[in-house]
Amino acid sequence: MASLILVVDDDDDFRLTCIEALMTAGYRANGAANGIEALALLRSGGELPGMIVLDLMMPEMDGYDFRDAQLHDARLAPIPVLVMTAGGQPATDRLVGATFLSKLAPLPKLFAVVERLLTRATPASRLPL
Amino acid sequence: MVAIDGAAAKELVASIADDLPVGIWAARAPSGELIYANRTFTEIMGMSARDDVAAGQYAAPYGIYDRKGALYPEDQMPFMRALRDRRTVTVDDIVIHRPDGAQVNIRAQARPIFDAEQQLTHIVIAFIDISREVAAERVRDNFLSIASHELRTPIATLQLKVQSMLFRCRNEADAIAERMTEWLSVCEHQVRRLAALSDQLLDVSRIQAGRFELDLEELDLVALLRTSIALFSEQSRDEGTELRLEGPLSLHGRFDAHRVEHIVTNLLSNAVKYGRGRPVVMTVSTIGERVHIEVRDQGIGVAPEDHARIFQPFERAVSPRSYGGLGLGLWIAHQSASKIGGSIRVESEPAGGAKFIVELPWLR
Repeated sequence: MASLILVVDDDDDFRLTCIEALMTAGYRANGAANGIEALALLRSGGELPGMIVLDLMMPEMDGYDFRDAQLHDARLAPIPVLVMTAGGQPATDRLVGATFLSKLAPLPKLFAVVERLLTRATPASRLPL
Repeated sequence: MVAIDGAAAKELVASIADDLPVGIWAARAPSGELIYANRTFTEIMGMSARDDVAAGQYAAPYGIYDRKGALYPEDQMPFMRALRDRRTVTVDDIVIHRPDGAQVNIRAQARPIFDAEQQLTHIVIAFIDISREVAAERVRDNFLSIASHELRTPIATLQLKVQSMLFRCRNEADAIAERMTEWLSVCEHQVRRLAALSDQLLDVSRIQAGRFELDLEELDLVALLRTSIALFSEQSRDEGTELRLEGPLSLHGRFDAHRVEHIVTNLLSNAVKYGRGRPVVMTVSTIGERVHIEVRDQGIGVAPEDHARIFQPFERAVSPRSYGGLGLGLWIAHQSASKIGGSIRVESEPAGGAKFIVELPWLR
C-alpha cells in the first residue's frame, strides 16, 4: 500500500490542496489543523504516517511545540518531519532533525523531498507493505 | 557687501552658527579640550557641551550609545577615528540617551583641521538628528517582512492548486484536458512570477534585518548545481533556453546549499531573461582554495559603465519597460555571496553576452 502522509497546517485551503496534491502523486494523506489535533490523531491507535508535513505558525499548538512533543514520544519520534513555511527563517535549533522546504517550492521538488524522507523513514514508523 | 567691524562680524557668525540645523562641536586635538559648541548641539544632546571631559572619555558623560544599547566604544568615536586616520569620518549608528530620557539617533561627521605645518590641531564634529530616518527604515523593514509573509501564504496555496490541476490534466488524454493544460500553464507561469517576486521581498527583509545565517554542510557542489539547473529548467521551460553545466563530475566540500542555490538561481534567471534565447552555460572550477562558478549567456550584455551599478538594489542596466522585475536579483545574489565569504562580478560588453563569476571559499 502507498505511504500515508500527515499534513499539519491551520490554513484549510493549503492543507486540503496539499493532501490532494500528495494523493495525485499516489500517496495516501490525511490532515490536522494544529499540533493538538495532530497529536490526538497520532495517538488514536490508527495507522502511523510514514512522514509529517508541518506548518510552524498555528493556533493552539504551533509547529515548534508539536515537534518537541513528538520527539518526547518514543513511538512518534522516528517519523520524519518536513517543515513547510511561508516565510521567515525558522528557528532550526528548535526543530532538531527536521527537513525544511519553502511553501513556494514547485511541486516536483515537494515530491522529490517527500520521496527521500519516506525512504529514509525508520522501519518502526512504516507499516509493512 | 557692507563691511562690518570685527566684533559685529564675530557676533553675526556666532548667531548664524547657533541657527544651523546641525549641531557643531569643536575641540583642540589631541586633548579634546572644548573650544566651541552651537545651540543646536545643546538641543540635540539635551545638555550643554562639557568642558570637563577629555578625549577618550566621552561616552558616559554625554550618554553616547550604539544601536544595540551598549556604551559607544571610545576608540570608535568619530573624534578618535578622525584623529587616528587624519581624515573626515562619518558614523550613523550613534544613539544619544539624553538626561530627559529621550533617545536620539545621530549621524556624526568628524573633520580634522590642520595648520600650515600639516599638524592636526583641531577636530570639528557635526551632529545631525536622524531619528526620523531611522524610524522610517524600521517601519519599512517591518512592513517588508510582514507583507512578504502575508503574500506568500495565499500564493503558496494558489501555486500548489494550479500545479496539482496541471499534473492531473497532463495525465488525461481528452481534448478538454489538453485545453485546460494550456490555460493552467499560463496561470502557473503567472503564479510563479508572483512567487518569485515575494521571494525577493522576503530576501530583502532578511538582508535588512541582518538575519542571514550561514548553514554549512558537507555536499557535492556539482550535484547541487545540477539539481538547481534541473529545477530551474522545470520552472522556466516556456522560455525554451538550453542550460548546460560544464566542469568536473563532482566537487566535494562544505557549502551553504541554500545560499548557493539562491545565488545560482538568481543568475540563471537573469541569463535566461537577458540571454535572447541562446544557450546558457554554467562552468565550475577550482582555483586554489576558491571555487569559481561562472554563468555565461550570449545575450544583450552589460556596458562597462553599468558593471558596478547592476549589483545595487533597484538598479538594472536596461529600461524597466522592456524587461520587468524589481531590479533586486543581482543585489540579493551579491549580498548572499558576500555573506558566505565569496564575491560576484561581471565580465561583459554590450551585445557580447555576459559572464557572471561567483567566487566561493572552498572549505573541506
